[in-house]
Amino acid sequence: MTAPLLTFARLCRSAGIRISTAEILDGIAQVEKIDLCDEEQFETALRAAFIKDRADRPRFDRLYDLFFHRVPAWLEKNRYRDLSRHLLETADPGDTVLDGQPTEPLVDPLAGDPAAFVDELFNFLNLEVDEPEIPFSRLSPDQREILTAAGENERRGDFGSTGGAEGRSLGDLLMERLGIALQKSSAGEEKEEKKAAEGKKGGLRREDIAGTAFSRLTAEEAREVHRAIERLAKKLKDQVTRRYARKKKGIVDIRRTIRRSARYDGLPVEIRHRRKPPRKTKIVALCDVSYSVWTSVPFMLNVLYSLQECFGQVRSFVFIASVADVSETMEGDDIGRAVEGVMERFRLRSPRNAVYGDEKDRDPEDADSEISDYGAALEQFRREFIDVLDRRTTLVILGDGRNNFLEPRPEILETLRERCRRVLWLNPEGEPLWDTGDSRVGDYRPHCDDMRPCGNLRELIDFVTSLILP
Amino acid sequence: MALGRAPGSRGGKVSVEMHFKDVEDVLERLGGACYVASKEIATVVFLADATGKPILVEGPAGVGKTELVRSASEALGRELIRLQCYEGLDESKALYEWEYSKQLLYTQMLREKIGDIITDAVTLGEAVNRIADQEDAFFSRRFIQPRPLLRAILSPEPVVLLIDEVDKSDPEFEAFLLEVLSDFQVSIPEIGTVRAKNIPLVFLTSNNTRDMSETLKRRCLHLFIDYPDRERELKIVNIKFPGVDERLAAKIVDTVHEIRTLDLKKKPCVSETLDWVRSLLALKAVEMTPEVMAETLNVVAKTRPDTETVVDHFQLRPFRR
Repeated sequence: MTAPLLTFARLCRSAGIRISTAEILDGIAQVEKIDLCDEEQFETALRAAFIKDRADRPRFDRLYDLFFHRVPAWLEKNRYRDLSRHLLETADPGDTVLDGQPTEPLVDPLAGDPAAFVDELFNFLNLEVDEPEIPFSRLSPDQREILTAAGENERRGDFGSTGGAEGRSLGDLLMERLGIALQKSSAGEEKEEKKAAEGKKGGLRREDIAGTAFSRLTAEEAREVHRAIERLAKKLKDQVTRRYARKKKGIVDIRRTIRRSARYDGLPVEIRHRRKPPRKTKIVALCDVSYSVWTSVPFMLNVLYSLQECFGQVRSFVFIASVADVSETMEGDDIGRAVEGVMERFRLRSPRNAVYGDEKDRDPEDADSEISDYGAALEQFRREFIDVLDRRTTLVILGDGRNNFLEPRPEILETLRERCRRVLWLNPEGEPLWDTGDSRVGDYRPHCDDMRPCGNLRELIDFVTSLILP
Repeated sequence: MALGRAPGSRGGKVSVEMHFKDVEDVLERLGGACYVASKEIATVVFLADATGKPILVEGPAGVGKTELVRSASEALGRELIRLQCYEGLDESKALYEWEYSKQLLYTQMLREKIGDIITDAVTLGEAVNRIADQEDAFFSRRFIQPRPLLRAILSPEPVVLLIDEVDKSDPEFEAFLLEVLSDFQVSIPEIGTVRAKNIPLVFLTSNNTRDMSETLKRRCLHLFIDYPDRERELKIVNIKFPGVDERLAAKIVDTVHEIRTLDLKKKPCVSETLDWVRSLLALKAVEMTPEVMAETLNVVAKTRPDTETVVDHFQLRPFRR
């Protein structure tokens, strides 16, 4: 029994599901307890032991189906029927019929001498894969890629065995390839059935989405990111409200401590602390919405406004060269629509008062729109909106600091910083790109309390979490 | 769900086998305890019982997570010990606490006795030593107030331990829980290590307000309970309300299933289906007319926007007040 389960676990791992050795041991122990003739029990036992996150479940179901149904069934139906029959006999000499019922495909690899069966099965399948003429189920189109990908997956995998490909059985290699093929095929299917696969997609690509730069997300992925932000916001809100209940540290509440001490003959055995609601920061967001940055802006605004209750107040401003207050637009109930509204409104109404810099450095797509001028924007912000900043305010600037070779005027940022609690700068570009080309973040950096890259969901989540739960 | 199920009503069932035989047995006995389990649920419960591993039950609010645990305890004839988690829950609330006030009271009452003990001690050191010799009297089990976890460990009979809403507890508590759940023993510095006589059947429930740590998940069997399918939900209604008109029950279940497909803030769960049935029975409604539905809608739709959505979907507008 152990060998096929180990192989199945390896298949799951290569398909990206994390399964620890302890969990495999659990799975084996559990399968021994149940009635193997009942497939549902068997599947449930494996799932309960291996899958600890609901998101992994669809993937597990596919793998299970492939490993315990499709591969054996395919073997049976194929022209290698003789061989497969031979294999079945190796596995289960004697009766393949239990109580008059034909043996389930499930039972085949598990009955009799499963280790030998599975090994033979894999040797046999492996030969198949390496013969280009014979199509192997649905893997063959991507075969070359899969073969190379197997190596990569191995290196990446947390649990992958340390030995090289030669040191391992052919069966392992095959299972890894199967896993990768499955990932591939499922990704392919999802493209076709976009709507139906929304849930699965979330599960399968979650890791990737969190790490993908905002600028490279497709529309569907962007929607997924917004959904992820929604979930995150819910969790954070929950944590913030629950922080009110925390009372294990802080100022001692003398009155309640004395009252409590009455129970202990006047000894202050239980110290009570004063409950203090956590300080809510006011947020002022100043977002660059020029072409180079604007892909990140909707996510940023979405996060800030989803979490409005966690902050004292949120004001938002967008700029390219001139600043516009968009707080009112953002007050609407549907955040997605409000963000779109902001983007639209701003681009429509923005006055073309920018001084154009070097044409060559600009992206072709924004040839007719204005270009970022941080100096002018900061100057205008100071002139018109400095009142929104006070000692409780955190100024969050989202921008790449690409100033089109215009005057950066970092000293204005310093005056803004003096007015507020802190200035945080989020840069959608990765750190290696800072201060290259027309990027002038180096000039602004000394005037910020923190400057960090914020180009994908993971970085955005880190930032917001640190903002709310210091 | 509360029909005829008083906590003390299992006094006569002491002889009930405290472990499940197989999955069928689980299904049958949970059914006997008024819980309609799916095969999946039954299998996981059976495995947990057979291998002594905790179950982490997840799922939307109100699908019967806690109910499953209650039924399991009833089916096994075991005592149910419940630990409700919340932010700030600590060991003294979950495991044990010294009863300082009781100790103080005893000290006061025994003050004279203490005088007797040290009365002929010559030096201060001797007096201290004599008092120290009596320490056991004050740090004994007598003064320990066992909280749910210790109670589950100390219990001479096997119990069912429910750690409810474990996601609401702090991460520190989760780490502590891990220690208790992995070997079911607790060390009390003044007394020594207490080991469980019987491994309790442990259920942890979570509503997923935060992700549980990988380590905790790894130690548990994972069970996700989703909204039941139509047949199972109908069975649940029938088992909770025996004799309910079948057509009405089917209509209610169908309507709830339809409501669940809508885009709502809070989808109606099983307990809301049951509440609805109960309300309709109380109103002596025999049929689900739009009027009746509009009047009782607040049982299933719990926020104003949700009510609006449902009303629009079923076109109940003309019947609203």
